[in-house]
Amino acid sequence: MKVLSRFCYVFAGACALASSAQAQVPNLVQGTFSIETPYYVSGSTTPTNQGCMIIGNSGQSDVPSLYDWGMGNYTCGLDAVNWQEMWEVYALSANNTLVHVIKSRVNGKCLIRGQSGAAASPSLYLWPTSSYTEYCGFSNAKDLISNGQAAWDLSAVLPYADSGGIVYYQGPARHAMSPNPYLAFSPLPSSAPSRVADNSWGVFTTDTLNKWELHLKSMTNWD
Amino acid sequence: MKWTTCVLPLLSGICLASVVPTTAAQALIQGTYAISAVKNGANYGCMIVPDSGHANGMTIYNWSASDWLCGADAPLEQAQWFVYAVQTAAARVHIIKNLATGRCLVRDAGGANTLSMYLWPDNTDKTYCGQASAQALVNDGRAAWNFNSLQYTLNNAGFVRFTGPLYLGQPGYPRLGFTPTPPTAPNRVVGTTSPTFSSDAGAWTFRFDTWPQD
Repeated sequence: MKVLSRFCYVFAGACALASSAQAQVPNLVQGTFSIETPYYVSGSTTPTNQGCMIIGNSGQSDVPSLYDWGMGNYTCGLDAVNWQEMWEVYALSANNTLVHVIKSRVNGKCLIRGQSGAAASPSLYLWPTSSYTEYCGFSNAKDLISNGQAAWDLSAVLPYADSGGIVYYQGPARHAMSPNPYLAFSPLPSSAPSRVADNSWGVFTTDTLNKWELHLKSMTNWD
Repeated sequence: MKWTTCVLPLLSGICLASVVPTTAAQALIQGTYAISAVKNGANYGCMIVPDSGHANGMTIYNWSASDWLCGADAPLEQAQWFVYAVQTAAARVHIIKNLATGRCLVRDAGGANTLSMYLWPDNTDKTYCGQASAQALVNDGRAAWNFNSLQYTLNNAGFVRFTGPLYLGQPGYPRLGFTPTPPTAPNRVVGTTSPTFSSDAGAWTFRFDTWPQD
């Protein structure tokens, strides 16, 4: 039996194995999330959350950075929802290619790798080609995927359940364009999670020893 | 062949032994969706909560005012459903919550074939619809939806769509439908049909579409 891929679900301290039948289903991440950033220093199997991926400078920045407000019990150390930490993530497909869009709720701009996929850092952008912001300003999913700069590979961002039973996603995020670098942050915050705003910025890396992941936490509470 | 290693690192850094291999693909859906009700290939409209989301019940409707989902001029909270997965050791279920008030879509008590928008008062945290825990939500069953029969497809715009029947509990248990079938598709008259459960519910299926992103 050919196994196409492998993954596990984690719940209640256990790891459930997925069958090969399950592995053939494409991994889809959709929703509105805050995104924490587990970081594995080389050789470690225990990550440290470096903070949330946010849009700093009161939402005016074009490059994501790490931050934890340290004020409350909500995600990212917040005491209320803040758009700076919220991201829309959803899947698009065309020509048998499945990608994900990552969009800031601050301004509706998409997280891209500019300079035709060669930029050193991710940035927020909307193309002026059309008013279809769902395609990051392209006219359709095909054009977005063909351009590639707003296309993300989240195939390794996998579901798991926390001790309370709510399902989240975690794993490394890669840009979809070759050479598929990983999303990371630099410099490493001096303390974790980062309490220094606009200090540790998003970058692309091919470093597979010091690993960054995204931990997507869905909004679940309406009181 | 079953894999015996954990690719996803645990927050605790420990991956315990192999457990519970599953044999069927299980939908895992999180996000805000329009949910359209389809019967015999005809789309009868979106699931909505009348009275701007404050009614006790749910129905299907299409505003027919635009090409947006549900025919609305813009996303309306009464037609938006926040869906997320809850996992216990033995079950994965989904919660269906209306965005207007945060109430859950719940089967009425006593095995009724009717539904209401409801939050239990047992817990101030409404993550589990006001139930005390994920296990309590699963044990009660009335707000624990089974998405295992939903299939991943694409809509015409390239967005991922999930399509299939909706059950409470396990397939073969009560299946969501509407009665009577509205006279036209899409349905443009509020109050002409109500949700119901039956063994097959008249073969209604549901489409979960993400709202266009603003």
